[in-house]
Amino acid sequence: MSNPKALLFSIPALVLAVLLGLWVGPVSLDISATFESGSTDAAVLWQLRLPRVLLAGLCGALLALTGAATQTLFRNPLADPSLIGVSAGAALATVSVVVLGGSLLAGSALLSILGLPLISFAGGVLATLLVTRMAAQYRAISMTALLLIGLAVNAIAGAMIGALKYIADAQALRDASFWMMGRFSEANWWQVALLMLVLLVSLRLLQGRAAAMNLWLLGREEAQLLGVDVRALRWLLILCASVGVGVVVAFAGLIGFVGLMVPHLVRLWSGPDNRLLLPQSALVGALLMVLADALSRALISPSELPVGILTALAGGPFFLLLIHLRYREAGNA
Amino acid sequence: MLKARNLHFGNRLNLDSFSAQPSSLTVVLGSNGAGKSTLLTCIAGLLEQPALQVEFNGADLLDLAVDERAKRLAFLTQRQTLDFDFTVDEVIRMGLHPLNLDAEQAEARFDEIVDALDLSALLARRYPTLSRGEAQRTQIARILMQRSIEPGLILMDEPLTALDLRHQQDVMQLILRIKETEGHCFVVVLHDINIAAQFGDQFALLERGEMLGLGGTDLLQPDLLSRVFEIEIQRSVEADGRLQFNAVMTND
Repeated sequence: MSNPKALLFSIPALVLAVLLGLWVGPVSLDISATFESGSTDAAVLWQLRLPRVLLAGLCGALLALTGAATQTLFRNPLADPSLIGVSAGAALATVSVVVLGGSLLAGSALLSILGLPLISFAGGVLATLLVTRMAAQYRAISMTALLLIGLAVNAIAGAMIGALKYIADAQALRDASFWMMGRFSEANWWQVALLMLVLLVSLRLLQGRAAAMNLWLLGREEAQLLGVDVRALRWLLILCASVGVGVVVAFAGLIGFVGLMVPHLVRLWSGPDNRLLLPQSALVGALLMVLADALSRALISPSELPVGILTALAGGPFFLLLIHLRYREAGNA
Repeated sequence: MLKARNLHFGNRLNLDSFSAQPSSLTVVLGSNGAGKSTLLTCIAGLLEQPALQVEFNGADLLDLAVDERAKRLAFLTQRQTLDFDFTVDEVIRMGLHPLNLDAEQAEARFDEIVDALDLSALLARRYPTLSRGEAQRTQIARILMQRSIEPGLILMDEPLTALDLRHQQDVMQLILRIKETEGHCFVVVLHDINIAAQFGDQFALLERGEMLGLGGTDLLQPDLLSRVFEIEIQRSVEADGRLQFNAVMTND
């Protein structure tokens, strides 16, 4: 059965992780000096570290939440935006703009903040629609079919990103390469505000339909027979997943496997019920990402590792383990 | 009273009308591909057909919003996949979603069904770890949880396929009891003619999407059944008056 107490542990853990994230870095901060306006310590804390830690936490929360939504959408506990091609679609759209039309966005202040996330979101929606359309044709969306479609979408987007990099100039190439590996180093308060808005709205919308999402897991027709407006629910899931992935990809690049790992860990702990899974995934996703970001800055200080490398290093083996466990069970059945 | 008109779907189903009485169990019989599942799917409004009309107790079922329809109609489809670790207890209670039962009513209904279907030892088990028969009993329980408070319509597509003989009888006895005490209209696809004859009030014989006959026990004649099932079927009457059907293997 579900265990609501799990929520109570995540909140203090997240607060501690945020404090740790603020403390880690090439400059050691004097706590009293950070409250003096105009001091270097204050600038480091309020303009660099705090927005960065918040950006990491919000990205982790959104990736975990969109992972849970994607798994529900495909009724498949192994679905993840980065595995099935949603992130790649968003990335392709973003790289296209950076390489081909970066100067267009720099023209206006509003466009420079909202332009990339919107384009990235559009790329994510297109990729999600492509994958759901194709997967729906096989009626029962088997894990194999879904992952094969994702493989193909990832390959196509990867090839097109490769081609774009090939024609890019040196600066755009370097920007695109670092961005593809996932990083929080460009954080600012605008991004934090927009991500916070997207997180609160999608969490609110999904949480309101959490009971219907449980029924959706029985099957589209079964959910409809239980009184769920399945068309509206499907669109809600597609849009929430694409918006979440879109803004994260636009601001922080490609950070894989968080959407796979976090809902899995939460289910082990507190069960598959979406009413608890959604908020709990957001909290644990934020916690893990803040820790991963702190680790990425501490490991090779004063330089830093792209955080996407860390999540892939942890996530890849985790995914292999899940496949192993799943097929071992299937082999015995 | 269930009255459906214009049940047409490609070449899989071609019926002008279908009807069933309240407080009755209609058994749909036919060989594979005869259109049995399509018939139930049509009645449930899951296929897009502009001319289809399904009237139940005076209300047009297809005109109702899905949440209102779910209060009057429950449908056990053949699909029973669920890849997430919900417990049997949680899956059964999903059937309560469209209804507004108070906690006491819900618990009484839950206990009655769990007891009758021999599910009490399975309640804490994770659904993906169940055997096919256990999963099928869990889904039957979920559908019976969804039955309306007023007499409603309950459709079941091959509820007995994975069950052993004892659990087949458990399920049919529970359906019989619910039908007689609450007056629901059941339409159930079965493959076992003997169980059909034991529990059915009305029989619908389908062949290649056409209705060969819709009526009472007198419809269950060897020649008609042999045609429906494409194998010779003999009928005998037991000492207690029960009908007994046997398929005859011919070695030619």
